[in-house]
Amino acid sequence: MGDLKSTHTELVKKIREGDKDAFERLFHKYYTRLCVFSNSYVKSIDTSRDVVQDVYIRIWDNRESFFIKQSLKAYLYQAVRNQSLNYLDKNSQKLRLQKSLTKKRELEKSENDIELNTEELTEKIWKLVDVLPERRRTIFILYRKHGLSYKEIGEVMDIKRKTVENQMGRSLKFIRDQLDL
Amino acid sequence: MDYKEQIWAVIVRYLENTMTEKDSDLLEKWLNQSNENRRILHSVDQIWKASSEKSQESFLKELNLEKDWDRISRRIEKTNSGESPKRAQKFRNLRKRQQIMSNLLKVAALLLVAFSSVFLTLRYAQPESEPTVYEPVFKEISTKAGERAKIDLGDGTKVFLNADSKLTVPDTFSGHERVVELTGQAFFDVKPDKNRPFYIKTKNAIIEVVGTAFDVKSYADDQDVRVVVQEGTVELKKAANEDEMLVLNQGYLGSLSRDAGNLHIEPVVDLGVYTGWREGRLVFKSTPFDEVLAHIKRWYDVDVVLTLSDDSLLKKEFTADLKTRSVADVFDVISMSMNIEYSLNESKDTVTVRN
Repeated sequence: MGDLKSTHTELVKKIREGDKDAFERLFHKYYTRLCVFSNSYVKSIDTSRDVVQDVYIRIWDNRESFFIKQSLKAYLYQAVRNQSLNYLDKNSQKLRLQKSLTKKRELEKSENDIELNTEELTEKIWKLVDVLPERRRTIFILYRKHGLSYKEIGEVMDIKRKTVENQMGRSLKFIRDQLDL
Repeated sequence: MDYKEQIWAVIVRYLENTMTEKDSDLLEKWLNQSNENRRILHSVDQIWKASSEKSQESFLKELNLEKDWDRISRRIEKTNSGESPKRAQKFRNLRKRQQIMSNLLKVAALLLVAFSSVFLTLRYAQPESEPTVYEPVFKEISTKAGERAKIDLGDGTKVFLNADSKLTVPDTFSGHERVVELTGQAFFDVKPDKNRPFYIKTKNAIIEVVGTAFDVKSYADDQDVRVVVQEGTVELKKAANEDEMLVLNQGYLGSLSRDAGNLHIEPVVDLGVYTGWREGRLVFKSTPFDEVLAHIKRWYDVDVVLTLSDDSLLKKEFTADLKTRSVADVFDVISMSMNIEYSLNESKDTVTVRN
């Protein structure tokens, strides 16, 4: 852990000093998973690429003030979350309409059948995760898809660890109620 | 607490394997309560397993890392050469101005000390009328010895951070208060906001302001936390007991001694003594020599070696108002008035003082 942290601090420092190679390392290390994460908001691979690229470009443009207090990972996820939310804000009307349509259809489907194999169950769960409120959805995705710890999630969302647990509990309860297993 | 709400948090910790003893007692009791509860746990287990989806293969196939890196690479090349963002432009302009200034001063045959001044304009809080903008977080701004920084907190508040100091600011100010933390020295020009008081937390003290301009000095090794008010009103409170406080009006100096915890107030005759550093002035007024040296160390980022035959020199008082000059210039003045000798090493980072 200590070593990892110091390499991260080193990387941040190099980027701050304008080291483009260090910046490229930052790109390769996190780019893919950040796109996956952004995609959970923006629901489009191309948009998620734009969003994450913007985040990287911002970091570079503002590199002189690239100071990080929390972990580098938490910082990047937080920045991508913010940038994704910005995108959604900007395109809210169009997206809201699309979303409410798909939401309804998916919920109707999930109410019908009861016996499920794991694959189907997985699919249903992620569809239900999609309709969770934003915070709860993000917590669920960061934990189950990206393997972040509750502590890291707390840093990304700027909330207490305890809140993360409570939100996770509520999500599970919701999913179970909907699935009626 | 609501038992039903509580049990779900326990279940989460059960899934994560971080249950406390109390948790497992609670869970056991709950499981024994009904078949339904056992069914719930079983189904949650299933959900948990089914949701552990690690592979992103389909997604990975559609990503072309090389192409995407090229795109980023091209865009940052462009900003580097031509249209740089406003902030970077500002930074460059400042640099340029410093250059011109320093040339002028050279012409005037003045030795100008190169102190690097870092200019950061960070946006923390958004004006309320605009749509929410989520910015990446910048939480800590610190200066090294010899550096100073000017920080715009985004709510209209400006902070001048003196050398060897640190300011910690939340990524966004909350709706009902603005809280920052300071170690070192800074001048605050706080934008008034009745609904959101501004607090500065520092070792042993809390400073509350409504909208005003004032100087705070609170380096970790200072014996006192010192606040000097140029405009408006400031409250200086003990961190340990916020009821014990001083109300400081314009033109007053308040201090809190760290060890004894005494609050002290006095009128200020010459504000420049406390705020002159902002204009690059070194101002001392009956300042004990050891404090003068501590200040100079931070200001010029030099080490001071003392070879003294008589320690009483350290408490002798020194008064001067010096426009930013070289270390040597400053010590020329000091050596005359304090009757000491000094030498500066070749790399100009160590001063040896003798009496």
